[in-house]
Amino acid sequence: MSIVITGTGVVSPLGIGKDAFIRAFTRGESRLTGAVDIGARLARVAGFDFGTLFPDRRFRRAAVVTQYALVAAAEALKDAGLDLSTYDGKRVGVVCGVTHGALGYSCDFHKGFSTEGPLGASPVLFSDSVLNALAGALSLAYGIKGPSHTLIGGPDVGVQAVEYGAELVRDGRVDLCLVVAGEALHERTVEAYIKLGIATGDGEAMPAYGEGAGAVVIERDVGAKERGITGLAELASVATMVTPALEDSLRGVVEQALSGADLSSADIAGVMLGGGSDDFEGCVVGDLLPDATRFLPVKELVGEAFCAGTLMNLVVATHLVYEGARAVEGIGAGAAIEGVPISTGVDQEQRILFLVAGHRKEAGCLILKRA
Amino acid sequence: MDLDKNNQRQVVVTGLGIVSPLESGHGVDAFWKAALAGRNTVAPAGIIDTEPYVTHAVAEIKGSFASEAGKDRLYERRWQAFIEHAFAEAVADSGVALKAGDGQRAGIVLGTVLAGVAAGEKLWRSGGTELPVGYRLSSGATQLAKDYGIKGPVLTISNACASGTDAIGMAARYIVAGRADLMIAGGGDALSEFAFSGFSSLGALTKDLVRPFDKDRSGLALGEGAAFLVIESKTSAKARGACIYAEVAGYSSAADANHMTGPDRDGRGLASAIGKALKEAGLARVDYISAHGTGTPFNDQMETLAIKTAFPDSAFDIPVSSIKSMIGHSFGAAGAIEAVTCIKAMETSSVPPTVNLETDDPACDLDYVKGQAREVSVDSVLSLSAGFGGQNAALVFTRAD
Repeated sequence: MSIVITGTGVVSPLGIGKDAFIRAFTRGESRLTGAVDIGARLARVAGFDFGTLFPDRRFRRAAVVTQYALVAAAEALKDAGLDLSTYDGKRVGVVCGVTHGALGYSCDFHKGFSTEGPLGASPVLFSDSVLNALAGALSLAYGIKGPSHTLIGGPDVGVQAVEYGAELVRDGRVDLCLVVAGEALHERTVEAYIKLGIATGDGEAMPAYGEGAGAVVIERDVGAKERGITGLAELASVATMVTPALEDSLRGVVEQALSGADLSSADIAGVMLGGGSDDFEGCVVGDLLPDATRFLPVKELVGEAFCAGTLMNLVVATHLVYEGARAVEGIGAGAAIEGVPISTGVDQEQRILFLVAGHRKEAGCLILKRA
Repeated sequence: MDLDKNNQRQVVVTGLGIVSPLESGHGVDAFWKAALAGRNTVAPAGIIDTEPYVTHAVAEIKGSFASEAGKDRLYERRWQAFIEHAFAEAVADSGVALKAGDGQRAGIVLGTVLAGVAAGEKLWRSGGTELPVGYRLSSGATQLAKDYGIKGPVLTISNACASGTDAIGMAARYIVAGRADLMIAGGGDALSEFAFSGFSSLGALTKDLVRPFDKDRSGLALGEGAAFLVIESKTSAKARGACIYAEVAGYSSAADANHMTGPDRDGRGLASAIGKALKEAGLARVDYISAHGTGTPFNDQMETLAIKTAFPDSAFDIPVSSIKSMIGHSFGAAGAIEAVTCIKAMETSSVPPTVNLETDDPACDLDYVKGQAREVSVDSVLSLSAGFGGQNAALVFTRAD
């Protein structure tokens, strides 16, 4: 049985919606601003008018991260040709990846009760600051009555969310699963991560952070075919791992993913890295997959968007697999990692390995191939 | 390979660990003895200042474990102390040699709701930028994996107050899928002013005792703690010669898609979860139900309806109890603590009482275990959880062959 991605959606600093996002990505257009007072570059989602993008007024007061997730999910469902209002909600699942959730609401809630006492504690802020608020909102918005899960962690948790969503589909508990990750910039996280030295590594000293959401629809290939839909990419294998050494984790997941897909390193045409700051990913890939074309991680253009960035990368990887050489040829010189030439190898093999490093020595790896 | 009725890998429980307000830090057996005795631990809070609030009662971890934790741990690291202790106890109980190589095919699923929030309070109060250790919820599971040499899947889930139950169910799925042979799964959370203020703002906290299913029930009391189960493939357990407590026979998660904070009033989501878990277990009824039983008016009525829907022929014959009247609602830990309760009920053929349940409610008319523990033959148990976001989860354990 094959598991395929049938729809993708994105809200990002590169654009709202897949078309704008991919267009900016292929041009290598960075959205990172210059230096700001706090000593970081930021990439924000611009022009996000939630009321227009998502007219359901039940969510007008939801946290921004939830709103990003709702809009990205709406696009992914539309892309997959799905109208869930006509679908049995018990046969649909949702898995969310979250790094910080609605941190702004958490801070505001804390400020309320700590400065004004119990009367300053807003029940709306409290309930929307809970980390499964994204999953709850998605379930409510689309009538999803199957499994609902929220996985917590750094960038690698985006891979874990895809892995678990695929498992739900594979073992028949659901027909399809919506996998979504979101992140909203907040000054507290930026300040704190600067202190910890967790940033991006695009060759400049100043760290960079971004925000947004990515969403994919996962289902069985036979289910998609029955609906008359062609998968955008097949999820060939997924692996996640944490060890005391990041390099070991990264090697481990690459080897596991290759083994799980019954592939060798020579079968991999292209690689997307998460963009970890120490470039352990690049070293491992250079060692294990020296001939694969490496594509620019979205992080280089939008900064560290944590697990939302991972889903954005997955949207790109899915596009590359689906479009093959057409997509590759559209990528400008600035969109490849320096020193690694763009080739049209993807069209020959149509397999992309997608590698992500977490912040605490976790690693995740996905292999996509043409559906 | 040992296969279940569905021709899938059989998953069994081989280790238990717990930290709860009942005999905290003294192990599962001490917890169980106190639970069967119906000891109430809900009392005025000491660790957080509840003076500005109209409610003051919580179930707090005290005693020798608390002082041991307090010596080295700050307020914001309590949850880590809890999970480390419960995890170590479960691993020791199972006899698995993780650091000696068994960790290669082992994983962790940790459920938590607000684990890092006490650390966040420090950050927000100070206005500073120093990110406290433990702020990120996933740090707990990741650190445990590194400490114990665990190389398999390591996940942190936050499914609101169903987190502990879902953690165990998800871990079982990873074993069934062949992603791991052994998983340590459970949940942990600690009291914080953030949580107290939040539940207070929702009007969910009682000024009275916690009285699940009672006509006069008026809300919940917050609690804290952690619990873990070591679960593994039956084949792996037999190969190690491990003591098998029970089989993880069924699990399901189902969303209400109804409201962000309140449950579906008819319990449809929970009934759906129960139905799927029973189907997976191949059962039409169970011998005992550990209810979510928070003591809030809506939850307990919804849960009663869900049980009636899921057990149309036997709902009134199944003993039901909620231990939250004794230990409060420990959110992410609750489902895991209640899973331990279920397994001990099966092991000892005794089910704990729902203390403070005194006045019958016509809307809650099942066979609740009132007053004192009941001796009953238990070969199958159902543990229920529900939470914000319309989360529902059901776990079925059966006596292992």
